[in-house]
Amino acid sequence: MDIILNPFVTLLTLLYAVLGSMVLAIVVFTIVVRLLTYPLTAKQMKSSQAMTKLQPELKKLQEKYKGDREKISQEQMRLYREYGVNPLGGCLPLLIQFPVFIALYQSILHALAANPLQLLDLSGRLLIPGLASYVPLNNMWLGLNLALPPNISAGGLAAVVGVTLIAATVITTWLQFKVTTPPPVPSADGKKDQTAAMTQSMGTIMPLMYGFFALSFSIGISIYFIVSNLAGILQAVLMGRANFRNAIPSWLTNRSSTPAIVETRAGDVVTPAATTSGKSGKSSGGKSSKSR
Amino acid sequence: MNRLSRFARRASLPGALLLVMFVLSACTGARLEATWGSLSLTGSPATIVFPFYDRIVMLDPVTGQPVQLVDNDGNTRLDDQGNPRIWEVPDAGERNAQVQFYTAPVQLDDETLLFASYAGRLFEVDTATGRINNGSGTPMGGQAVGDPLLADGTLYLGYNQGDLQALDTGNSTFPPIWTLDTDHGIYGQPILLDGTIYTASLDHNAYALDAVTGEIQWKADLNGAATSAPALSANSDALYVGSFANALFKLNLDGQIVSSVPASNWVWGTPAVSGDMVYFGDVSGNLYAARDTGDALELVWGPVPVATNAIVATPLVTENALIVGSRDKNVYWVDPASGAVLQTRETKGEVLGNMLLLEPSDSLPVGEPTVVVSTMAHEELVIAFALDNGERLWAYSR
Repeated sequence: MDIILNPFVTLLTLLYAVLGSMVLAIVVFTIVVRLLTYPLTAKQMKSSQAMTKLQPELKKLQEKYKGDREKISQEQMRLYREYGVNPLGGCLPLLIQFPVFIALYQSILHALAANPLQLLDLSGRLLIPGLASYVPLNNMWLGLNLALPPNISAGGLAAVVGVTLIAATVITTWLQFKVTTPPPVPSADGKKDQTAAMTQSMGTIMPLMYGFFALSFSIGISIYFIVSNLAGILQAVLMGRANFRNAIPSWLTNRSSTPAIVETRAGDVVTPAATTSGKSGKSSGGKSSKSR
Repeated sequence: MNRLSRFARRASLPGALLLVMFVLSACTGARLEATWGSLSLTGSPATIVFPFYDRIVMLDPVTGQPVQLVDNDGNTRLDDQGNPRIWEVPDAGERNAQVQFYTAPVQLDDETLLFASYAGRLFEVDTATGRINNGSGTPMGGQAVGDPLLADGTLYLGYNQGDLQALDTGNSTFPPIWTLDTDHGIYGQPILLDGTIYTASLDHNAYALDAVTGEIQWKADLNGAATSAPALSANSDALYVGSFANALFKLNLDGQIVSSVPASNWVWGTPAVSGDMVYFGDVSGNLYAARDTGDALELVWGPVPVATNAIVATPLVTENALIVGSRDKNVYWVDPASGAVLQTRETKGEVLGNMLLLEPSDSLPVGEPTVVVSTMAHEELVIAFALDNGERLWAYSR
């Protein structure tokens, strides 16, 4: 773990030394981590794009084996394998962040050194001579200690900032998930398949889970979450793979969660028109399904 | 059944994520942080007081057993099961409060010890009964890491958050008389000399303050954070203080840096002073000896790689050996003339807290000169070694 942690702590301290602010250091550090994990993210997004392109094929399967869900599932898996598509691709960016998150969480704690033992540990983690002159790092921001979880019961500005950070973590996690995850596809009988249902439930659980993390872990981690989510959304936009329509609730637009137009990077337009036959007139929400 | 299995399949991934969430929260959530206790002696005949983690215990220096409580007639007090009551303050203060201790107590009066906790509370403990007089403690200005200093009814105490306060012990609420605000924590015990308080801070400065008013008389930049308490020279005309600038500094009492000795890494602990010799360690486990020539500090030997991890505790200086505790879970007997290791004794935990040297006397009925160290391992919290040969005399575990 030290092999990952020590360079992280050193980089974070170096950024602090250059920028003069721990919050700015965490923001820049997050962007650096995002850039480092870009190849993985890009691969996942390509997978999602391929998934979208497969929709007509999947629809054909659903019609061909209508009523035989087992067979549909088998054929879907075969199709995924054939095209090298990961059906859980939408969840991967967030899951990939877990080991990075753990190392980053630890590095923030060690760099901020909130207690004597962490400060003592820091002596062996700084790989660049001279950084010790910046120790201890200033861990106060807007009256809050970045190394500690938000103290909501404290009241005043500390509580306001704490609640805001937790809310921002939940919202940006949800937004990133929605914007970067292909919408679920209804099956021939109008019901979502298991993968889609699972992905959708992930879209609910993930933001709550990260909200829980923001409540329990240090404030520095919440800042990482928020910046990371925003960077993920920006990354999707720059790659032409952001789907903001997916973030608009169906009840607001009076549309089902049927796939909208997805513009690919190459400029292709994949429409799910073929997926909406007269037979699949209802979405899981029970509202009329319209294609665009 | 199919519906159930479908549900199970759908719930498997979110369930796994929830499991990860709870495992992570269990690993990193609220829990007691590791602390190192501070050993001290109190009373006559003397007993060892050891506040550690969330409790306080008083130990017999001869046996290492917790002291048994006695009544006014000298009879051992018994609990409901007929067992002797021992001097222990378990789970100090209110339950569920994360009370933790780094510091040694001060003797408030003949019957009361005052403990400053890392949870930001002062506890008055009755020495006769081992009970807390002030319930869940009296709030103070921050988390105590360095030992407090009590002088003339005033308690001088530094906090993890960066303040040094003078508290009025004549008032039961211990109100602050003055506060010095530094940007970072104060980990060392302040020292008092001729009406001046000297201290060093993680904000890279050493300070001299008027003990009555708290007014800053001078502050000196140490080029790095200072965790150690300043040590007074044998002639009481200079201060020695280490810093994260990889050096030990000698300051005169006007706040000017007279001289310094370079080190290989951070100098965390307070140096030991014996005549004109100054001994100190660094966080890499190196040990140094310097001689104060009056005008300068001159390195006599070092860095000697005595240990493989940090030397934080102040070395004990004896006639034939320096006793050095390390984070590498060893206690070393070191030749004062050369820094060579004479013998090593292994412990089960990191040795970071201060050590005691017990010399036999009327008030300290130990059979021979004894070295007492504390560790961070519950299996071996306090250990006593014979000074002469390093024989292990006893160990106290939780």
